[in-house]
Amino acid sequence: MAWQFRNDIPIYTQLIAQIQQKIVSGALLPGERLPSVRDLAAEAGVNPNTMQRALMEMEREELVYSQRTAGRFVTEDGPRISKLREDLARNRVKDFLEGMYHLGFQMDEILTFVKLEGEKGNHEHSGM
Amino acid sequence: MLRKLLKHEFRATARVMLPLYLITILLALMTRATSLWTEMVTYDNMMGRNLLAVIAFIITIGFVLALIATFVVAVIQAILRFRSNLMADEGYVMFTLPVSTHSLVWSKLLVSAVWFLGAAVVDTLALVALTANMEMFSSFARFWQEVAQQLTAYYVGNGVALILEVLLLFLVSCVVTCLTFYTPLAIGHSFTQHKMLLSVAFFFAIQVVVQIISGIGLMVSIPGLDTLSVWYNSLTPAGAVHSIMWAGIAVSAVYAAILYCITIHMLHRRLNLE
Amino acid sequence: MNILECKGLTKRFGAMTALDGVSFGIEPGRIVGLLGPNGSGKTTLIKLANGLLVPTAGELWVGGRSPGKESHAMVSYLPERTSLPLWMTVKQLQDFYEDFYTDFDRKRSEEMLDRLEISPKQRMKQMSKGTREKVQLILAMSRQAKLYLLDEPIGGVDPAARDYILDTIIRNYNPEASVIISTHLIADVEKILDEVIFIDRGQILFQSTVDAIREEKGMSVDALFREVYKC
Repeated sequence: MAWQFRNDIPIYTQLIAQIQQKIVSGALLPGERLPSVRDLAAEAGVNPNTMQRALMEMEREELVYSQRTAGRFVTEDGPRISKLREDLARNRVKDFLEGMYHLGFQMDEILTFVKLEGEKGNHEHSGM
Repeated sequence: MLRKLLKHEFRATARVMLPLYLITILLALMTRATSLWTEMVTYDNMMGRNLLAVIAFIITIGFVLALIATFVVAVIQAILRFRSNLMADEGYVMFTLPVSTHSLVWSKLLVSAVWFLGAAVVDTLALVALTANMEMFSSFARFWQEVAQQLTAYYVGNGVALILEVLLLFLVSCVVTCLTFYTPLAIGHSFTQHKMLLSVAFFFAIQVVVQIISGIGLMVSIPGLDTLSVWYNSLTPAGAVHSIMWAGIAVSAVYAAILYCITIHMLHRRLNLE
Repeated sequence: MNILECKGLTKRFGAMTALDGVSFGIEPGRIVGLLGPNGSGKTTLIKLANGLLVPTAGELWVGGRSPGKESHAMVSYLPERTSLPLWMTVKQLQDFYEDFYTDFDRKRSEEMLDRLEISPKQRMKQMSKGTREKVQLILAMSRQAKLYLLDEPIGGVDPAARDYILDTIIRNYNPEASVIISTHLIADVEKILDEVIFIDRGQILFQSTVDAIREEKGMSVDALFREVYKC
């Protein structure tokens, strides 16, 4: 997955979001060793100090852990990853709802809408 | 680091000087060859003779030009190297090397002096190659035989000293020749605009100042000049030659030192690359 | 200790003031953007740090020293213009750098040349302007210097080479070394910078980190630059 950045928010928060995304989606597996900060930074095309800051923050949130010599690894804590997955989903839904309210939809209308679109989407996804 | 600069400077300048030396020697040999050939062609072959004469003439002209070129190119190259390698774009590389400004200037001065000396040696060799015959070598050998016979401590001492003095004067003169151009270039290029025009102007300005100072030196009777001339008249002929040589070396060295200090100051404090 | 430190740094050319009492410091391990429009004093500042100009007033230190031959050994400088001798081949230039800089990593330069498909046998004279710029950058980045002063490193190169250059700067990152990139093409370099120094008419407008700007202003450094230097 290519790294993409928006211009209006800090780069390190975007790095955290994108690494979280990779963990949740399984692009990074539990216990997988992460590339070095320098390589990750080069891959994302960002400053190594910024990448370091993002990883430190994720370490604080216990999503990654580092072993002094071996490097940095994705957490093996399944429940922690599930919680992250739910947190991310919750944020998405919040954003989505906010947008829908903005368009003047009510809750029941939104639910009908989601169901309808979801069924359509199922057909499209069934090929996968 | 001066050693590395010298190596690099030789590499940069040898590209021009060594082929030129080679051409000079080759032209000398060719001139010699055509003259020998002309002697061999019989008189009834008029057309051959005329053609040969034309070829010989062209080669001889080429040879004379090459003799002059060894010196002229050495001087021009000394000037152009200073300008292009230090005062133009390449200066960005040279002045950010971990070397002192003194080393930069000395590498240019010493390498230029070597090429001047090389020109003298090559031109001598070329002339020998042009004129040498067995008789010359034998008379040369006779000459050294005589020298060896008449050898006394007096001649050996003075001879060696004189050779060293001539060499020293030659080297100091080379340095002066280079600095005569380096100093105005360094001054002219410290300005933001019209760098070359100002360099030329400063070249003439310095020449005028030198003329005025030497003019004043001649007119004003230096105190103690009388005693100096008395001392000079008391010298042996050899002593007189030596003192003239040393006076020449000293005056040139003082002049070189002044120009050198100005150049270093400009490069150190007033460097202003485009 | 700051790798670069300026205090009241001023440079005048006759009546024109190119730098006017500039003071700032750069810590080790930073990639810093020196941003400003043409003629704002960026190049003058970098030349002063390289000892190519002497300050009219004020002081600056590189690795705790005044600019001179000791500081030159610590600084890898990429001038704004291509300044390598045209008669030399790439290999001769590598020899030259190896001779004078003990921190020159020949293997690294060979890898980079290989990657950008530049033959060591080629003469500078035979190359396009863009290729010459690449050679100069490769030589500068092949040193293990304490401070890299890159004056407009991405000015004239194509996008692919530009990405490679930025990649090289990131991969070359060393917590003890700092990189200063002067440019007016901010969008291209913004992501690789820790902090930026905005300079205008010889004065520093401010020094801040990229993420602090994004956090506080809700806009990219590029957008802020356009706002600050709006005509």
